[in-house]
Amino acid sequence: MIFLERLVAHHVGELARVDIAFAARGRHLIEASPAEATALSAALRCALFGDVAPGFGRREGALVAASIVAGGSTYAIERRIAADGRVTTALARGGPSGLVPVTGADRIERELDRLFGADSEALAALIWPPRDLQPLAGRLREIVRAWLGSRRMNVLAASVEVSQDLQEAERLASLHVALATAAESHAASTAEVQRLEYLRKRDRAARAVRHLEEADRLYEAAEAERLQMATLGKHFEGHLAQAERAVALAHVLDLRDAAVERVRTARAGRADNEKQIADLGDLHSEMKIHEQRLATLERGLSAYRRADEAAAAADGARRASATVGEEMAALERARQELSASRSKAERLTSEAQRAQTLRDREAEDSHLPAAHRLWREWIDIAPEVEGDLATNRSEAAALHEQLETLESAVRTQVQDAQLRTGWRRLAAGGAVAGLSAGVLGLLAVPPLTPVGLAVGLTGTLAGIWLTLADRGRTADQDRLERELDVVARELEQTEQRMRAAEGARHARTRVERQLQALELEVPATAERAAILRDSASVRLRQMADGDHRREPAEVRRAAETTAQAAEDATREVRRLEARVATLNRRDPEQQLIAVATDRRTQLEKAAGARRAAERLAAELQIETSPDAIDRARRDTLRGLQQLRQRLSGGPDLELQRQVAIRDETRATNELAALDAEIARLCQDERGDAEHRPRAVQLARLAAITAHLGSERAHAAARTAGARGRTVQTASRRHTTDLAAALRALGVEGSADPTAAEARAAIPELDAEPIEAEQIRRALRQARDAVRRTEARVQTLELRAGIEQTDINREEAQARLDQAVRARRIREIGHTIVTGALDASIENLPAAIERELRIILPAASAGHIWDARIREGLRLEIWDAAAGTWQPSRDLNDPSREQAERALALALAAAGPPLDATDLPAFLWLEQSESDRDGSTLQALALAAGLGVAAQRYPQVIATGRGLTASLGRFDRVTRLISGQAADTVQADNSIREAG
Amino acid sequence: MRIVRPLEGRARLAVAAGFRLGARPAALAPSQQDRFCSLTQRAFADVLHQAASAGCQAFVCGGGLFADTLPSLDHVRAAMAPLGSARRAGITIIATGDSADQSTDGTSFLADVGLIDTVLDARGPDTTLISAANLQIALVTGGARGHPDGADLVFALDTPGCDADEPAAMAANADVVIDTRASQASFDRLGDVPIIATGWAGPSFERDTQPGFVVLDIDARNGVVPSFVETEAIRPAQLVIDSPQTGSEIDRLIAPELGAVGILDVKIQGRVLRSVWHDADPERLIDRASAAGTLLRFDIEGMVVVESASETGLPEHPSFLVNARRVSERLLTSADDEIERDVVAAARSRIVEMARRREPTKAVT
Repeated sequence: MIFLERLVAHHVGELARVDIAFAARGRHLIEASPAEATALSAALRCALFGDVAPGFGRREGALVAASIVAGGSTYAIERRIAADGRVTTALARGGPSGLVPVTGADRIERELDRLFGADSEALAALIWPPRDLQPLAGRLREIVRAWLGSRRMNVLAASVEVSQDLQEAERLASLHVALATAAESHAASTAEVQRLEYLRKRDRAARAVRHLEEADRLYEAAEAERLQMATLGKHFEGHLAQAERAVALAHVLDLRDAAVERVRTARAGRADNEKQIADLGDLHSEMKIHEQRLATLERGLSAYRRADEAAAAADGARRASATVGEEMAALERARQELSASRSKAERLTSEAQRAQTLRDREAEDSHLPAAHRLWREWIDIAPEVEGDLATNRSEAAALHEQLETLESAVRTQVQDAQLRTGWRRLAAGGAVAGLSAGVLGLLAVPPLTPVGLAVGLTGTLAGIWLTLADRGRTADQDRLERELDVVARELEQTEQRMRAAEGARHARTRVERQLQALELEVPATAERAAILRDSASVRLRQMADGDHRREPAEVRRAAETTAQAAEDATREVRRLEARVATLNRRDPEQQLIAVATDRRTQLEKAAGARRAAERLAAELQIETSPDAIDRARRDTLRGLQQLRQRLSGGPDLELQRQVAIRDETRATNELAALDAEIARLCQDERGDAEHRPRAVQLARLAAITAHLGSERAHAAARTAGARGRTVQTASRRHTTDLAAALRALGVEGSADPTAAEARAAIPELDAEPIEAEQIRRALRQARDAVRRTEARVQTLELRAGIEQTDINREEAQARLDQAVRARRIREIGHTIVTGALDASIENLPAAIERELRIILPAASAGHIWDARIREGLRLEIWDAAAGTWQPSRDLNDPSREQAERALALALAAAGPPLDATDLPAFLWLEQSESDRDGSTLQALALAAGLGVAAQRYPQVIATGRGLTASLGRFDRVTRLISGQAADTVQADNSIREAG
Repeated sequence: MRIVRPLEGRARLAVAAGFRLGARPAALAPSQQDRFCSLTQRAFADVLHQAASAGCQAFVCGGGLFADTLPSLDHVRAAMAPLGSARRAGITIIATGDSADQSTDGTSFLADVGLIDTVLDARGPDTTLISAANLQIALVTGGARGHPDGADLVFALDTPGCDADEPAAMAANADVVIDTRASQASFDRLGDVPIIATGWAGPSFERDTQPGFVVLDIDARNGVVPSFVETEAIRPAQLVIDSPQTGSEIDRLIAPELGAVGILDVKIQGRVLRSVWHDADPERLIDRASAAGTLLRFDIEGMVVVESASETGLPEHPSFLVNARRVSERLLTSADDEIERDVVAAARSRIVEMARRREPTKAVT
């Protein structure tokens, strides 16, 4: 709560010099005229909020000031208003060593904003509850926010705002997740393409195998037929050449033995070669195992390297964290040092001031008797000087004027008297002449008698009248002369007083010059002079009593030392403030959070990579260490090189096998030819000579038949051979296709693979083949999907600025979840803040109505007991007599004023939420023009002590005049007379006996 | 505090404040203002009678006797009779007055006619000596500045019009500090110096105030012993009505007390239908009570007016934090899954934690 301690107003509005102190609790009445009350209210508003009312101030020395207590600290606000309306603000804040000025306009502005918030209207409505609530009703939300604390609400709004950084983090995390998802889709599509490609190649190989098998079967059939026909032809031809064969039989049999031997040798060589080639096949599989092991080991090593890199990065982050931590520690140390330095600076400053005071006193002590005398003389002279010189001058001027007037009157009187004397003489002459003429007429000339008597009587009467009139004038003249004497004496006395005052002024000037010459304090007032004189008296007495005194030089040195120390301490404070500001600018807390985040990420990466390496090592059943994996890798690489060297001899073996096959084929063919020759020759030996003719005939018949059979058998053999060659050609083509299909499938084998080899190498070769069109379509779709996913991956990589291989899907998902959670927290926080503010505003009319129901009877002198708040804070009053609700505007003027002011008070008391910021604890009530006897004002002041208002407003301040005291009681009363506060009345301290 | 002078028995003083004869609080209905005015007179007479019955040697009236500086003759005359009785009982009467107004006020008039012995300037500094049981007691207003000559004890009076320091500061130069400003009586001690708040003896607009005055017993053994004496004549009667169902119920409960007691405090609490409250017509009840000679006062701070019987909500003073918690609870209830509830709880914690930080008022140095 903000309490009002003091209000000062000099030369503003109707106020000349006002200084009012307020108690922390109670009702305080300031009796003032309406203009003074208005000016006082404007002075408070100006002091608190800097609002200068039109025509306010703009005089020499115009100043308003207020002292308030907020949050346990005292604040003194002083605003000087220049003639051009410019306001200069000074602010001081209470501390352990008293009020400490806040320097710098910005800091003052900031501090006042911190105290009163940005919306001064909302705060002012709590101090001066406005009768017209419509402007407030229009901006109730802003008002409630201001009551809750603009800064706090802004901080709250900022904390629930979804910032661009947050959105960017979420967008990036979602991109990473999308990239990981796209990469997985791409991998799946690629795998599908590979699967379909494999199926297509497998089907192609299967077709080739089937064709090849069919060709082999046809070839074998054709060959068998050809052989049968050839054999048949040979049988026929044998018969014809039986004799010729018998001769060459022995030679052929020798050749056959040699050929058989060659065949055997070639077969043995071929079998040996085939065995070695089969062994090479085993080496292939062994090499594959070695290669897989090597790849696993490479991955393990790579994982260890990644782990090491991540650990190094984490270590770097830890070092950075330590650096930032050191900065934080340095900041904290600097803050602590700053606090200590401030305390030290304040202590040293007070010590320096004390030392300076002691030094000044020492300086005074050196001239103490003279100082005592001069101050005493100053006091003696002061009353004479302070005598009202202006009054004396004005009195003297008035007396001069009066004197001149009187002198002029006296002169006029004298001239008048002289004139009247002449007239009297003329009248006497006329009377004598007239009477003489009358006597002469009586005696000698009768016609002259009436004229002479008339002239004589006229002159006589005029003389008598003039004489009588002169008597009164003589008395007036005497009185004038006496007054002239009195005024002259008074004038002389006044001039004597003026001369005495002038002399005293000269004397005081002389004394002040002597004081200045001795570098002693020149008192501003008599009270100060009395203090100085009494102090000097005491010190003189102490000196006379022989008190110990410090040497002046020592005091001076002490003062200079303490002043230097205070200056050093102040400089140190400034240095530390700059250091704290510099350290704060780097924002080490945010840096620390960022480094910690990076370190955590790197540690997680290192742990993940290490886990992967360990898993791979476990798969290979080797020790889980980089060295062990590296050793295993080197061993595997060595074994692989040996296998490759062994496999490099494969072509030579194949060549040897081909040569052996060729030799075997040649030997076999040769053997077959020899066997045929032998068979032919043996057949010839079976004939007997005795049966030769019959045999010749039969041989002829047989020759003819054999010729015919031979021709037909040869023709059939040629046909079968041609068919066999055709099939062989097709078989070679199928073999080529099969070889190509096997190569496409990655099966390494001979250049002319057999169907059996193909069946051995390719599993599931007999599976139902997929239709070519279907597989083409599926493959096309899969490839399209691969292209699409690849394009999406590339697009996402460009947008995310990272390669898909660098993304861990789980981590990315976790980051995305985290970002989404942070955003949702802020969105929901915004909903909560908005909802809470709405609810606070919605509750407002009910709370005001309840408070109003408590206040209203007191404010309306028991006339109104119920009211309700309508939309826009419109007020309706329950008219008990009529039994209806009545808008407040329809009430008569006094009742309407009571109701509206009670509503305003209820709003000010019950409107601010319970957890509002520091709000004014003082209420400023003003007497309205229609409230002539102040009854409404006093009733409101009493009503402010009821309900919630009693807690909200411990200080109730009312301004008014002409209040009837019997209508209410105020705890304190301050009267303003001619724009000045008349708080204190000096009274004697006499003691009277009682009883 | 040490009393050096040997006492003749025991000194007894009555100190009272807050009479305000002729007061007509503007917050009361006109008929009640007359009632209030007559109650102040009755309270004054009763307090003086009680002081005389208690054997007080002196009666000190702090805080002014009359509400107006220039009271009407009726009010002065009403004060004269009890003062005369007290004077006849041998009581020394001291009253404080305001010297700022140069015109003769009611208190000065009573002093001039001899019904009040001394009028102390409330603004001070002013001093008077009372002799009681061979003890010289100095009464000081405006703050004691020293020990008056011949005084055995110094009583510093803190009066409403006084611009002196607070009681704690006044205790520096006084043996006893008497605070006549507070409406409620209290006894305290600052070091060896008793701080005695007399309370108000007259009727008060503040319903919680118990009217009464303080009697100070002074002897060599116990020093100054204060005791609070309630003003019998204006002791208010209490009536609590909980959630009345009809207007006539209030009427029926109040009716027996009207005329039987001087002040009747009626406290209505709980939920009350607006129609019931309108039927009760408090203005009419007050007028009726005034006519019967009773000052009827309503305490409706605990009353909750509702439009219908089904309305249960208590209109609360708005609180941002409470509303934030309620909105959070609603969101928690409507949350679909655990994650959403977790998010709402986190948001609520953040809002509450930030909203709890009140606007800092300390300067940033």
